[in-house]
Amino acid sequence: MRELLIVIAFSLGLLVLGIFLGLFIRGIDRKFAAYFQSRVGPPLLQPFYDLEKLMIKQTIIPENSVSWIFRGAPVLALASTSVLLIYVVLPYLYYLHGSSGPFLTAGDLIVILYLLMIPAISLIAGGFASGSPYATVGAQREVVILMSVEVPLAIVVIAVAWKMSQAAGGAHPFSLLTVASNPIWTGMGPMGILGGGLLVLTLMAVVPAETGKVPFDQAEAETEIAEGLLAEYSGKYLALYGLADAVKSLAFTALFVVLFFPHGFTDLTGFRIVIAGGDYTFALDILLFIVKVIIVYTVAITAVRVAMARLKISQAAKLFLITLSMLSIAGYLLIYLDPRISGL
Amino acid sequence: MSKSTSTFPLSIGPTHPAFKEPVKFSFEVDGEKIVRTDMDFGYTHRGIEHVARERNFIQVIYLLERICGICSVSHPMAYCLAVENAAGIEVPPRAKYVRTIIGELERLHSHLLWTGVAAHEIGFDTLFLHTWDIREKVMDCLELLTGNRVNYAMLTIGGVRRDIAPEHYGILEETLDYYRELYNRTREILLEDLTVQMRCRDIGVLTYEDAVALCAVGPTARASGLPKDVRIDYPCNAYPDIEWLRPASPRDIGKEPRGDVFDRMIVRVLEMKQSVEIVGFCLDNMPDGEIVVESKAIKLINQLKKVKGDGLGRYEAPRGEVAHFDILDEREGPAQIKVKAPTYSNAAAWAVMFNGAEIADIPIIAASIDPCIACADRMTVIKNGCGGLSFTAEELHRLSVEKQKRIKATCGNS
Amino acid sequence: MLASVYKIIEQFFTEKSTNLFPAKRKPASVSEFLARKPLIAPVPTPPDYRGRLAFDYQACIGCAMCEKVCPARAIEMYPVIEKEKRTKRIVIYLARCTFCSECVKVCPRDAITMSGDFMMADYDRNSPSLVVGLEERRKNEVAPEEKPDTPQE
Repeated sequence: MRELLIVIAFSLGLLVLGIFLGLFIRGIDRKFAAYFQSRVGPPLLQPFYDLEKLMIKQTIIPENSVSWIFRGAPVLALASTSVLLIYVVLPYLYYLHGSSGPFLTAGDLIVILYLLMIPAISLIAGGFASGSPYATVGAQREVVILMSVEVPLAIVVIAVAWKMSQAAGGAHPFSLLTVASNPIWTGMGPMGILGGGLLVLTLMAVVPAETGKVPFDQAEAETEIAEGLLAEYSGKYLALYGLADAVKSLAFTALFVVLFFPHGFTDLTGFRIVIAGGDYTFALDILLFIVKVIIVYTVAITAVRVAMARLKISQAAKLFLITLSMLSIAGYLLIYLDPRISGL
Repeated sequence: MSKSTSTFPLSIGPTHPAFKEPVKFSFEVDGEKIVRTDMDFGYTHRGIEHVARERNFIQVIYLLERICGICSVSHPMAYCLAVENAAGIEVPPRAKYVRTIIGELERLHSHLLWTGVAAHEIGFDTLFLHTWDIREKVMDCLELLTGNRVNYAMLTIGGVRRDIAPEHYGILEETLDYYRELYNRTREILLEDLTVQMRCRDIGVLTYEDAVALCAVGPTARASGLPKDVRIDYPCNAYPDIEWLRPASPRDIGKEPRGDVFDRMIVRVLEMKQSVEIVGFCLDNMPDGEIVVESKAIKLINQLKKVKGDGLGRYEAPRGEVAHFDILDEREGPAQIKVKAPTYSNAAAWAVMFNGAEIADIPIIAASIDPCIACADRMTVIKNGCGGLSFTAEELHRLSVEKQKRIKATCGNS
Repeated sequence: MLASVYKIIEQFFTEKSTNLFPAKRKPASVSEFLARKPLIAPVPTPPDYRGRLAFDYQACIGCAMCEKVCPARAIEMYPVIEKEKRTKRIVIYLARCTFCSECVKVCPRDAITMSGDFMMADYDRNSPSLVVGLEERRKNEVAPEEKPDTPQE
């Protein structure tokens, strides 16, 4: 019972922290994007100002919308992304701390895959419910993106889980704790590392698609369909979507880090930081984790979104369903073959 | 998305983030494919032609300058050419060269602006900011030469109002060198980027035959392989002296013209280089002498007051041919003025380009002819509060003939 | 593809193109802020910039040529008595002005000149800062001559 309460308290704290961190990372993203584009950019806290402003703005519900879906979708999006964040980060923090708990194996990669879909589905529901042709087109596009992204993402997850089943002796191969404690790179030959690289590349392409950023922001394409899904949203509900987006971006980049670069400070250096009798390694680990998330965010989202044009929906679907699926299958095969080749 | 047999209407505009000016498109959309296109203009009609008839010759120059902010040399240039044509005024050679320099600098900044807009339409904001960043240099140069960044107030009937002073030469040369240096890298970013090619190749195709049939002008026509350029076909200003000037074509960089959006981008990039070279040529061969026939505005008005006749002025604006037709009738101002803007000619090509395109292509195709709705909106029809009149070609022709007769009658009597 | 990647990496490190505002956010007291800090200078205007008009009341002879050429009809004439003779002087409404400098060019006595000043924002289009020659008008304007045949505005 006590443990359950701790987990709940921890999750709530994590959620508040996650929202703050998500918005802050968004600020960093905007600043970096501005620097890439030879601009000075907004202050780092601009997302907070935007949120504050949206919260005090008038919220308009379109006359011909399905009101309850229209109002409910943003709440669902924020709730599901929050749960996603907790499921991704909490086991990892437990791993970093070195403690064990009853809920560590409860949430695994399969649950995360499903949770990833819920914000997108609520966006689609909200889009269809808003009764605007732009939002309808946006929702159709979001469906296409959602379906095509699942394929390479699922293959990456299966590849990682297969590797885990080998490394951890078959116990809880889908658990994030297993993934975190057995980094995918351990015991890999050159072929395996190449395969892992392909998987990283695939997931890098999936990140902007899952978070709806250029080149895969077709559902919200500003110049084409005037923010598409969000065309009719305003005020508080738009703010909720903004929060959900920030939290989802954070959660997905965190998932990326946990899947491929879960090494804590002790794993990397072998030391533990002990100052005046207190063990500060955990604090340092969290800091390292945040830095890793920011790096992944900058490389996979910021740099990509400034260096590319928006693809068309047909091109994006083709890219995910054919090119990236092939790439991830190749990566899986390489990882699969690696121990057999090295063993020869 | 399943292949549905039913289509749904999608109207884009009159205000939409993809368009910088109000124009309304009504599409019939099947999934993402466009099956039918309809266009509606007239949202920025300001009655400029009517206002021009109420003003004198000098005032009209500044009025026409404000038809469109980007073409603020092209429209007065065509008007001045038309009036000079009607009154038989010969422009001094130095004024011709100054006019050419200002016109080409305008073309350079207009094409850079277009590139930025096109990049923004396909979601490539870095390229958009980059081109607008390097555009500042030519804007500063124009500000130095003319005293303002946008409405230059440089042209007058029979010459130009400001000379290019000796101290400006160095700065102009420096600007040209800046663009010559940038050319290769900018071309690489524009023309060799993978995502730009994915979004622009084979999109919005206007074939050679269609370009001829629909009377496309400017870069839109040249990208379809039609060697059509008023600067070469009906040379004015300093263009007759520039022997190497040829209509830009994708063939210049070894690509067969396909008439798609990407070709239009190629043509504009080549024209930027061309403009830099033309300005360089004009600076090197600048003749001495007067810059204007009659510098006193009141005297000029009084001279033109004695003229009876009409004149046509044609000039290659950055977007294509702009033509002004003026009737002078012993008045202080033009008795009639007719403006034909490049977008007016190119808008018909939209219908062909949109055929079979996807929704995602709408902004870039619409932007690809570099539309200037303010230039093209010369008439608006209002019936019961909204548009609803339709004319056939015969009716329009009959109306034009009637109007022409009316003009002739009023001009003859006054 | 690589060209744009190279470009953004280069731009990350090079000087930014943004022209900064004098202040990051609205200072609590504008006058104190102006006194205290070295401000970010505005973008310089070229020597021949067409900015705010200035009118020399003494040099003007009331020939009305500027009124005739003004494309925006921003120049208004009012009657005055100078040297015991009835004549006219002008006011220029900058809110209407298009800054074409045609009046500067046409003036036979160079009574109208242009400066580099471009900061002309105001809340009222008829405020004294936007009407050139308003002070002289208030001082010198006389009642219009009684002429029944000329239309009065």
